[in-house]
Amino acid sequence: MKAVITMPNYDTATSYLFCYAEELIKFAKEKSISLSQLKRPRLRRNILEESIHNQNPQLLLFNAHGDEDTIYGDKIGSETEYLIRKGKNHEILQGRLTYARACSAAASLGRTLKSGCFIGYNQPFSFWTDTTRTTTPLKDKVAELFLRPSNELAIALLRGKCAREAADIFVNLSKKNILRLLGQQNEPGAMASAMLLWNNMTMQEVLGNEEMSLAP
Amino acid sequence: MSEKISEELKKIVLWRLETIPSHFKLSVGNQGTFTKEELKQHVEKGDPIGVVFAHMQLNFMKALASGEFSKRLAE
Repeated sequence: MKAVITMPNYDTATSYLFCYAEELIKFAKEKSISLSQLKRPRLRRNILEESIHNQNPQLLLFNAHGDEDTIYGDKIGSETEYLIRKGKNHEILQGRLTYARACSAAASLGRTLKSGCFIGYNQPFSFWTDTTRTTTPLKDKVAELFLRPSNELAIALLRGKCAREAADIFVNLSKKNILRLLGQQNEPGAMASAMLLWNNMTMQEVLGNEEMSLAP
Repeated sequence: MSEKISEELKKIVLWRLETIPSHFKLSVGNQGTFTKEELKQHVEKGDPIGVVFAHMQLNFMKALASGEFSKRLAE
């Protein structure tokens, strides 16, 4: 089983995603899954394309910024380089199982898929952070409400669960967090967190073959 | 997102923002991260960040009002 993970780390959002992605790497190591990590300075479009061409990974895990047509990689100077863009190189997703923890990429890019499966979000994937914890993202209990469910989705895929089952894990954990917050609705920020969890949960889409999973 | 925020929605969203703790910051994709005060300014201006945040709030309120929120949680 082969997989590729992208790990930009140049602003607050990507620093949180980077730390959570480290947990996925740890999990993959424990399970002896070959997970190719693309971090700076190897987080470049040409290296991603080469890795996909040479290794033929079944699973692609993108931690990134995104928009409707694009999944981004690293920031090079003042520009953020695109890794996958509709109409440019989107065909490299064909036949693979992709999870894009990135904004809005399911709205258009994910719909280009003719085979394989794409799990993503059709609107911005958003989360609250606690400004007192930005240097230690894994200790940020506010951000954890949003990022733990998405990590568990990726872990489910690495475990060999099919796309639909993995996506349902994200939804069920988000629901669990919402219910917990409703029980604490007088706590400052509880309803604001429930609102974002609801948005992330309802904006998630599974496009293509929902039964697709990683072959052992 | 090119839509505008109605004055009524703006008032509601600004009121909701008052309830958010000052140590919370919103990370909204490649748009950046925003404090409560910054979000208030974006909503007041009705710029793209303000519109995105207002729509999130509106989606949530619609789901609460329609019963969709309770239905999905009960499923």
